[in-house]
Amino acid sequence: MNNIDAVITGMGCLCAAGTDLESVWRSMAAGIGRPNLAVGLEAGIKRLSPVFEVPWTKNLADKLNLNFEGPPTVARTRCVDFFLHALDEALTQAGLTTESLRGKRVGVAVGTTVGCTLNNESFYRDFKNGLNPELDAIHRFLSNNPAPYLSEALHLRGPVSTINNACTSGVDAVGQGMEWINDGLCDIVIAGGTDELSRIPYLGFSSLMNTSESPCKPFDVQRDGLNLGEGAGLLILESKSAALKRGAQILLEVAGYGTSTDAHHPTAPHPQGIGLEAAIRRALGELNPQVIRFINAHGTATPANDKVEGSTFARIFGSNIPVFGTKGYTGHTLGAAGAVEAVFTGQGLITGKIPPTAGFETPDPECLIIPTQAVTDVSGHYALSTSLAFGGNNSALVLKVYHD
Amino acid sequence: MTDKPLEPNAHITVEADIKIRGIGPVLSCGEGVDALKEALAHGFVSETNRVSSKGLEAYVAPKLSRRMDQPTRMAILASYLALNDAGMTVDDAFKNETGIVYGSALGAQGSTFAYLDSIIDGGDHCASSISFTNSVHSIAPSQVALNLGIRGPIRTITAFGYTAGAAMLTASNWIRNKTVKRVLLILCEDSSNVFDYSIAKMGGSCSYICGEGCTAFILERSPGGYCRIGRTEPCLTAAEALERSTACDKLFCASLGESGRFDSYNPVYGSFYNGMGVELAAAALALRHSFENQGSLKKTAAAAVIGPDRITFTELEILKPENIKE
Repeated sequence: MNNIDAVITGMGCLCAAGTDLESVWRSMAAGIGRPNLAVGLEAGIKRLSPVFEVPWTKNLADKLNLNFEGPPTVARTRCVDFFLHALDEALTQAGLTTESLRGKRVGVAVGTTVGCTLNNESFYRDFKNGLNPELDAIHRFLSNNPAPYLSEALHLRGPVSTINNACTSGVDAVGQGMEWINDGLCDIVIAGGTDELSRIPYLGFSSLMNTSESPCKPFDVQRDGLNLGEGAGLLILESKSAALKRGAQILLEVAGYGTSTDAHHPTAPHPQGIGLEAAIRRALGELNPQVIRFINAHGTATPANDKVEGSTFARIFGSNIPVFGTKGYTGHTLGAAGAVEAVFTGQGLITGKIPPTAGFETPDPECLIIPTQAVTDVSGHYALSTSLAFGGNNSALVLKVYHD
Repeated sequence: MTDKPLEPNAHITVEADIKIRGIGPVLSCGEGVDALKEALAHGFVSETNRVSSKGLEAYVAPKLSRRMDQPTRMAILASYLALNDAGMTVDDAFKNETGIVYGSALGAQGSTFAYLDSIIDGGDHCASSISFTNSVHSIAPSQVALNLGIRGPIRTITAFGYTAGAAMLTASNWIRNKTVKRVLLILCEDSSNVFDYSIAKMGGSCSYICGEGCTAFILERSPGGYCRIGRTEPCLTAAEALERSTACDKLFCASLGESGRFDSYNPVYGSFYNGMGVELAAAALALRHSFENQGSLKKTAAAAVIGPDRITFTELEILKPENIKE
């Protein structure tokens, strides 16, 4: 699909590497990821894995409360707070305000996993023990699904979708937004992903033995698993005509999006990357693969994921294509990951530089690619971001830097 | 491509020449189209709000299904029933040309709580990897893809009351833009003791009885089927929905007890967030088989009340006689 109409006029991001895109990008250029040891997750397991926490402060929360008024009686979740914070940054860059969107054809598409799952442990423990718990946790859950929350809080009149496609959710939300824009359903879509650290998926990934006890090592021969993270990434998508009409500065075009499933295994990718290749080729559409100047890989640092991604990239683009992975700075932010990485891909196109792959030291011959080890200059118009998920989902996004 | 300016309160309308070719209901009132027709015709009131999915044994070996959770079991069975209803076979073309759009308003409740059970009962080190995997909301459609060999795109939407509308938009978009030839649209919801408890404790503020169920649809641009899907409008006000409904012969509405202004078949299936799937099936069946002696219907609509002033609305239109599904 290269029938380009959806453009990007604003981006916002926060993660363990920083609370805005500029600080995140600066931190990644330094090449050092800083996970810590699961503070607050209090897991009673032997195999503890470091995690990447957002440096969320009271100042940031207070600032958010000034800008957004939600339902007064229900506390917001970190998931929603993260998304609103990233929205603030993206709207500012796009030259928009929340008030200017009120009542307009503005869609909201958000990818998340924790943000739409009722896994409140203390409530459930009380329920299970017959303690007749109050319903605060239920009301909080029902009030904090990110996409409905935002659409209702801002009084928007557009379609609403929360996507839970596991680890491709974030990029699929961007794809959903592109579809709505290209279909003429909306003038603007707030599209992205958000997720927060929680004991529940932390224990789940540990039970699957997918986590590493040390900082993760994407594409490294000694990689042994992922580290979880949290954060949000968000894009303001507009139809090109609407953006030009209001005099917005267009940053990027959404040049293509593709998704497919492996139909192979509930939790493991197809070893030959058949589904991933199909997703990439759908995203490329009629574009020659040689126009892609760099790739932001999903790069979870699990043995299976990185091998499949690397070998698929080499098959389509050749082994010398510049590839970078960012989980060594952000951790795996699950439902947010695809959107956070779409922002990084866009920023790479805009700045002409991509960061080193934190955690990578020694190439793995089976990966067939060597990711960036230093800040790398990149030129050209197009870049690719990929995501893979539980259940065999694969999604790919092609962005193009905008020129008048 | 759009050229519309930024206008306040502009409506969002999707029109697509897409037909419903097959329907697969798996509900407390029974499995398959005939069971639903029977229930609708005779005003069946469910004695249980749980679904057995007993028909799954005809399609999936017990040794494979025993680790599946309730939404997965319902979704797979509903998919096979919809395929059978459409008279379709699963060949390579089907596998490559089909996408899955799966809507579950609240996600996999049963597995989420089963996973929490494993932690609370056995300690952190006993967290169940199987329940954790099943608690990922997209596992049910992934298992459908695994069972049918579908290699097209999958999208899982978990947006509470907005789910059915967003799923309809996605399915229409994929077919209209030729992302895939057809979509297996699955609207599914499992129940749980936690939500039964919550609804009971909410008392007067929430009057509906929790149910569960799944309805699958085969959607494509085929000439024949049950009906043509007209416009979908994902975000109407109540006044706008009432106005739209006057142009229809009958409106089928999943209301969750929040609005008494629209008819609903909630008693047939027990209310749940994704009840619009059942109402959509009822609206399609009504165009083909007039139940309740309503006479011949030409246009029906299915709707879901999301909030006090937010309603998703989909119109269905009768086909030419030669294209109506027998």
